Amino acid sequence: MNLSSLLIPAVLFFALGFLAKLIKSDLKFPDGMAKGLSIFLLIGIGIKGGVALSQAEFLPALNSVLAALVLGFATPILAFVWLNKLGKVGIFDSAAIAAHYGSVSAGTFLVAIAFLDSMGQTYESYPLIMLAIMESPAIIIGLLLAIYARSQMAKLNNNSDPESISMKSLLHEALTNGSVVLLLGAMLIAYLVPADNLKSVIPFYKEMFMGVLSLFLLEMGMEAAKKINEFKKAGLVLITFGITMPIVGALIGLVVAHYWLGFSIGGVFLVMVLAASASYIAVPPAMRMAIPEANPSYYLTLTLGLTFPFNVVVGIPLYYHIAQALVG
Amino acid sequence: MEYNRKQVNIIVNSALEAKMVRLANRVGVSGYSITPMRTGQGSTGLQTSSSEGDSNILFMMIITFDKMEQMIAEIQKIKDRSYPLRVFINDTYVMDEKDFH
Repeated sequence: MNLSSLLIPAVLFFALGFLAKLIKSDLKFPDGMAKGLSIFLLIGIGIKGGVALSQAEFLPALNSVLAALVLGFATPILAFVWLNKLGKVGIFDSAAIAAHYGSVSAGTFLVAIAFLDSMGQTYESYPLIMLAIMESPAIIIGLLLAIYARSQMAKLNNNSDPESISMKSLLHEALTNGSVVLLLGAMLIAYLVPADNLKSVIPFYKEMFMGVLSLFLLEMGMEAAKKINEFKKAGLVLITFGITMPIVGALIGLVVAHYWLGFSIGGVFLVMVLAASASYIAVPPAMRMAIPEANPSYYLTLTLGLTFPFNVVVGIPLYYHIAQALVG
Repeated sequence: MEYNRKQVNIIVNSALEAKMVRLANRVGVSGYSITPMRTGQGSTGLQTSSSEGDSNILFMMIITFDKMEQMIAEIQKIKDRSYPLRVFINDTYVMDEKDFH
């Protein structure tokens, strides 16, 4: 592992955004631009996934979907046990944070792809499908944990369980949130459209992709830096969790991708990144709805202010190094 | 000139926007306006509009006193479920009374 692995535009633009806020620069993006860029990126990655899916074999693809579901359901439960039982973090905050760590960050995944591309490392296409699948299960687990938390609190206070958000409305939120609709929708379009007809949109989504990712990460660098002052509210247990949970997640991803799916270095590395990353786009609004008792500043600070920068700067080269050592 | 309506302002996370619209429709208010809040800080930490879960809106209605009381009762039910809504109400004057109820 050497420093040159960090010398890719996306990572450096992230650092630039972070630095700009630290030195109190007046650099600012127009309102809503990050949301617009994330729509482009999600469609771009969806199209890439759809093209990959159209060339994929059925059984490995099915296996990847199963692995994604296992990771999506198991990781948040592990995170919840860690936070609530070992870390003694409040039950609602634990449930909401756990849901974020069970879901994935498309931004981190895209940096990982840029990282592999910069080194000319090939990878299986199945992790692209896993990205789309892994957005949702953690939201469902988050709701189930919240229901458990409310029943525990009701027992503690000798109250009846207060009215909670219905499973139906949260399932609706989990399966129809914007990121999932865009990813799966774009994937389906690219899967259905013949390759010749897709040519007209490919330059827009493929050639511009890394440039748009750089812009997106510039903005995310600024957003991450804004969250720095919130760390003192989070406390040592949560900060430790925000750094160690991605590493544990990556190791679980490693086991799944290497021993279960039998991927190459590139594929193993991408699954590690998926399992290590935490959602900061799809899950926060879902948890606002599902677990209003949790403090949003904890999960937003941890995912965007700590885990995302950690994964981009330290995690990605580290996970690649581990994947290379085991698989290569 | 006397104040003839109440201006009800609700600061709430954008994830709850649809819920607020349904509530206003259920109570039967004649209209509302929704404005995005670019950034802010309060008891739930810093909000920077980096994503939907990190974005607040201002949900504003100008309504009669009776409708305001109904809205307050409904909003209280949502607050009782721990949703962090911030509500403030002003007396206001409107020229076209029939349009604001």
